[in-house]
Parts: sequence; structure tokens; C-alpha cells
Amino acid sequence: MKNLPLLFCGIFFTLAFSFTGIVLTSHLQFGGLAQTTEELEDDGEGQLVMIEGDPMFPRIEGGVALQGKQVYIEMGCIYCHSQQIRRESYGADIDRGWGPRATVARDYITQERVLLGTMRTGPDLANIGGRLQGDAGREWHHKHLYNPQITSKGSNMPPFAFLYTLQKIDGNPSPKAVSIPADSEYAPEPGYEIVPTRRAEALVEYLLSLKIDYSLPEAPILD
Amino acid sequence: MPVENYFELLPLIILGVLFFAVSIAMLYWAVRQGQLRNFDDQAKVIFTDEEPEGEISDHFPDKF
Amino acid sequence: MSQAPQNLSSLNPYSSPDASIRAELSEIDASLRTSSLFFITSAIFWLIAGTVLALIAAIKLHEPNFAASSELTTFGRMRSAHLNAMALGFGNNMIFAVCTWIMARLCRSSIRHGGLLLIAGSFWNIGLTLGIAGIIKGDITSVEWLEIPQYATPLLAISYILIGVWGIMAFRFRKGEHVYVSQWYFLGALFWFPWLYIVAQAMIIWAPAQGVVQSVTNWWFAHNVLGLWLTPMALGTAYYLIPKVLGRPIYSYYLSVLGFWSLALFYNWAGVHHLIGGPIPVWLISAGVVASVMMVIPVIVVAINHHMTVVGLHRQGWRSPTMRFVVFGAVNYTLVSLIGSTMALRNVNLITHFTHFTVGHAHHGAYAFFAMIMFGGVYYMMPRMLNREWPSAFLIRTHFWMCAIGILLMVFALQIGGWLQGLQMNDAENYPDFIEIVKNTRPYMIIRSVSGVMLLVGHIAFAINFFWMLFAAGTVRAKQGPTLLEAKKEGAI
Repeated sequence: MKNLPLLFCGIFFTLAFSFTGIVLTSHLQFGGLAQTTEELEDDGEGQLVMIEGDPMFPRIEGGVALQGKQVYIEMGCIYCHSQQIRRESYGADIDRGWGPRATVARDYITQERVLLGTMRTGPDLANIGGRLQGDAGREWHHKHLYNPQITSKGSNMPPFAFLYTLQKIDGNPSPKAVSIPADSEYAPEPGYEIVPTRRAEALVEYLLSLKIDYSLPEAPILD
Repeated sequence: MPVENYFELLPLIILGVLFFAVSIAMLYWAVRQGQLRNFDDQAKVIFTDEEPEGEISDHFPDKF
Repeated sequence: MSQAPQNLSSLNPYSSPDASIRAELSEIDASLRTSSLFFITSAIFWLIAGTVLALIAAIKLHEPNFAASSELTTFGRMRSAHLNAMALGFGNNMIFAVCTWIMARLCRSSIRHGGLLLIAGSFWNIGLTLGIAGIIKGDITSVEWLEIPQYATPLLAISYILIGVWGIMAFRFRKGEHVYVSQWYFLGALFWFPWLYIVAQAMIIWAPAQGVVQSVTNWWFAHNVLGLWLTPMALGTAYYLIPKVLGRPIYSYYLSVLGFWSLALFYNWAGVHHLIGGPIPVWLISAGVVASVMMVIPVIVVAINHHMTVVGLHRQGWRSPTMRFVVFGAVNYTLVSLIGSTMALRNVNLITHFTHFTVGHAHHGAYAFFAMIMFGGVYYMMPRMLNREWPSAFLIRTHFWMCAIGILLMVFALQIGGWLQGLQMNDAENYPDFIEIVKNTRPYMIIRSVSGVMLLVGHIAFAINFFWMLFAAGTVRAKQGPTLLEAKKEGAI
């Protein structure tokens, strides 16, 4: 094979083939997915359409949670945590209570940066907001993020104490103070408290927002 | 499980057939042109007078 | 080829435009000396930096409170800095050193525009330093294999274009008719990589595609960095060095043609296997699995070719440092690829996906195959470039044994630990608490750190030997060919 043009043709075509097949075809096939209501109804003419007035899913990301996503990205959380739930018969994701159903392509269409992840050094987080909710969830997350050993002894997740501030208790303790048990080796000395920075609060709001608690026409939640 | 729309794969299938046809054509042309002859010579281009065929050209240094 | 038009011939990177005058190998070696030394020196710095970063990340996985007081050293950033330092810093600089040299030798002429390579190399190192500093600072993109922030990529792009142009010009203006298999691999890789990189940057970072199209693009890109960049560069190097050292031509040139084209065809469809079980269409996953299994063809072809070339000359081969490294690399290419094809099968992937098994596999390929072959290349090149022997056989042996045993230990630990991790993750009944699974991986994490220390020792041995050879007078080989001073005068740069 001595001919540069011939070699070039072959090299070009082999990559063009997979580029078209994998990248472009994905774009064609599911790059145009849109939000939808949880169920579709027959409009009387044999077409399935969205139900008027019903909320649309997946939810659009925004607010403090979106700022928290930026913290998630900056800390490289994706390198230990995935955000995809596998189907019932393929792995134990649903058995572990990681979500009520498998995630599908449409679940990610409103995310500007998709963080599927490929490692589960730690558990999957696609529905972490379904497992840990509200103020109880916030409390757990702050303890866990400050130092994972507090809630999960033996964990190999790094501590994120640098997302928190140690401050002197001024009169009454701050309502935002992280409630670390006094006998824990990570508890601050008496008279001091640990308070989350804005970044920590945003990150926790992001984690609370990660929910797969809705159905999609192609992926209904079955009980 | 959702039913997928295989219609969207049509461009890929057409491209695949095209690709296959072009590959066969290129292979045919290459054979005709003599690209795939004379392999023994091509394998020996790495040897020269300085580093000829038949001579081992690397060894451990003699000192420690 | 000798009738190149006037304006084009100024692009001719060769000192003598006359096709009939082929340079002596020693002249070619001398002309590439400055650029290759620059690249190897850079590669060694990145190797040491990357190994230290790796150790920090590795220790964190069994001592999570280690070096954890600052966000600059948090695990996610250390791991990503390590990956980029190794792949782009060590890997690419080695490729630029070794593969440009093999290309020049096969194109049969000493080069003229070596300065181009030096400029390219400088841009590369500056861009990469900026990029890795950016990762550590927190501008990490969290896109796998594309962690480097946007502001560093133009420098890397400029550098790459310069090297790509040099490679193509070198081939275009080569002397002699025959093209050797290594040249196809190098040219293929040189062409494929920018396409992959530009598409990935465009569709994930600049104008992000919607939803999981990003993920599919990401893994088409990332796997092809391994399969269409690192692999061809390493294979091309092995195809040159194995027959060269042994003085025996490659067993079957025909098989090489088959191997090259089947690799080109199948490898780039395999990337989707990183998403098996994930939220993408089943047909796409199936295509990836099929391609991953079909990869057995080029892999067996290469294995036969290399094995049959070496057969009968094992003992002589063992006496060559280069052969040890290259053969170790080539054998592991076969192993890692066969394991990879197996990992793509759905019922195997069910266990290995998301676990340390994959990390072990990645290091098996990137280190036991790619890095070891590149080390072999350096051991062959340097005496010919500097007209000196390597100063210390002991350091060469230390390098080899520490790294060979170190990487095999790492792969075993991660794959045994990862396999168990996967089995346990899929068993919600007996392992309902995730934290148990995490604790069970700890001993394997510790063994991995130990193997990392071994690799560091091997790398330091290599670095010492290299700089000793560079700066100290050492033994001068009794050989024909220009001395160092004369080579400089002949307009090498």
C-alpha cells in the first residue's frame, strides 16, 4: 500500500462510517426528544398526544440547584458516582432502591451537561433526591459532605470540609449549623460550629433535585 | 421497552451499503494496481547497510 | 515524487530533494536528535508528575482523609490531572519522540524542519501545563478524557496541527517507493485524532448536543483516543522494532494489511461499550458489542505476526532491553484486547461495569501495552541518537522489572477486586448495604497503591538513566556515522 490518496480514502471512510453511525445517527434518532407529560392520550383520531394541563417532564434544571451542579462538576463527583438506573432484569439497581424505574434517554434532555458517569465507587445518584428529601435530607448531606465518616464509617469518599466554615457560636447556634454528634472525632470544639458555605448549600440543593419520581410514556413507573 | 423507530437508521444503512461497495471497489483497484504484491520487499524496507537483515541490532550495555 | 512543483518543494522537510540520495540511518537519527530529546525529556517530566498524582489519588481511595484539606487536591481533580498528565503529557510526548523518528527513518531522509517540531512541542507542554493547572484549580469539565478547560485547548490544537503537517509532509516527500506498515498506522492515527477531538469538543463543550447524545459522542471520542491514537502509534512502533532488533522481517506482511484495515474498521465502533445497560438505544449498544468482539480479528492477526517473527530468536531477543519492553507490550496487547472483547459481552459487562475492573483494564492497555512499547522505543533510539551506550544495565533491569511486575500486580488487584465488587453490587439480597461493598474493596486499593510505588521506582530508574546518558560522557560507540558536532553543522535544525 504505497499510495497516499488510497490510504487516505480508507482512513477517512472508516472513521466517517462510525462517526455517521454513532454520532450523527444518535443525533437524528434521539437528539430531538422533547419534554412530555407522564402519560399520553388518544386524541380521538388515533394519535397519541400529551394530556392538556399535566406537568411536563423531565424538569428543567435551574435555580440554586443548577449552581450546585457547577460545584458537583468542579469537585469531579462524576468520577465515583453514576447517574443512570439500569433496568430491573439487568443488575440490582432497582432492587437496591436506587429508583422506581430505569432511566431512559429522555430523562437527560434538559441537562446542559450530562453526567452519566461510568464508576460506582459510590452509589448511583440519579434518584438521590428521592431517597433523601427535605430538611432531613439536607441534614444528612451536610454531615456526609463535611466528612463522610460521620454518617458512613469506612467510606472511601473524600471529605469536603473546605466547603464549610468553622465559626465561633455567637449567642445562639446558627440554624444552618451542621449537626455533628458531639462525641464524633469530627465535631468542632465546644463553642464552635460548622456552617455550610453557599457552595455547600447549592450542592445539597442539587442533590435534592435529582429525582426520577415521574413516569414517561416510554418508561412508566410500574408497581 | 420502547419501540424504536428504525426509519431513522435508513441513512446509516444506505451509507453502510455505499461504504461496503466503495471498499470492494478500492480493494479491487488496489489489487489491479499492484499495491498488494511484492510483500517480501515491503517487509524488508526496514533494513539498510548500516543495520542489515540477519543482524541483531540491540543489546544491553556492557558496563554495570 | 521527484517532480514536485517549485512552491511545494519548499515544504519538503528533507535536506536533499533528490529522490535517489537516501540518507544513512545515522544521519537521520542525528537530524532528529534535538526534537526527540526535547520530547523525551518532556515525557519523563510528565511521567514522574503523573505517577505522583496517581499515587495521591490511589492512596485517597483507601485513606480518604489523606491530603484532603484543600479542594485543589480533592480526589476528582487529582485523578483527572493524573489521567491527562499521563495520556497527553507522557503518552503524546513519547509518541512525538518515537514515532516521528520511526517515520523519518522509514521515509529515508534526514529532516530539515526540525524546528517545527520543537515549536509544536513547546506549545504542547505549555498548553498542557495550563490545562492541568486549570483542572486542579477547579475548571475541570467533568467530561471524561476531555477534562482540560477550554482555554488550554487552542494551544494544544496549534501544536497538534504543526506535528500533523510535519508527519504528512514527511510522508509526502519520502524517498523510495515502499511504504511500511508502521507508516500506515502513524498516518491513520495522525488523521483520526484531530477529527475525534474536534467533534468531541464541538458537540459536548462548545455547542452541547441534547441529552445523552453527549454521552454517546463522549465515548465514541474517548475510546477512539485509545483505539485510533494510542493503539496505532504503539502497534506501528512494535511492527518496526520487533523485526528491526531481531534482524528478521515481519512474518507475514499480508497479515499486517489485514490487521490494519480490520482495526480501522472495527475499533471505532466499539466505544459505545462504555454505555452498556445505559439510557441509549439497544441497537447502538449491540453495534458496539459486535464491533468489540470483531476486534478479536486484528488482535489475533497482530499476535500471530509478532509471535512468528520472534519464534526461534527468544533468547537473543531477551538480551535486548528494547525487545523486553516491546514484547511485554505486544503480549499484553493481545491479553488486554481479548479481555476487552469479553468485557463487552452483556452478561460479563453486567458484572464489570462501574467497577474497578474497568480501571484495571484501562491501565492494562494504556500502560502494559502502550507505555511499555514506548519505553522500548526510547531504549532503542537513544544510543543511536547520542552515539553512546545507556550508562547502566542495572537501571534498565530495575525499570523493566519494577514496571512489569508493578503493572501486572495492579491489573490483578483491580480486576479481582473489581469482579467481586461487581458481583456484590448485583446482589442486593446478600449485600444490602453499599458501604459493605466499599469496605470489601479496600485491600485491593491498598495493593494498587503498592504497585503504584513500584511503578514510581521504575520510572525514577528510567529518568536517572536517561539524564545520566544525556549529560555524562559515557561510552562512545565505535560506529560509523557523523559525530554530534558534525551532525549539527549539516543543517539539522
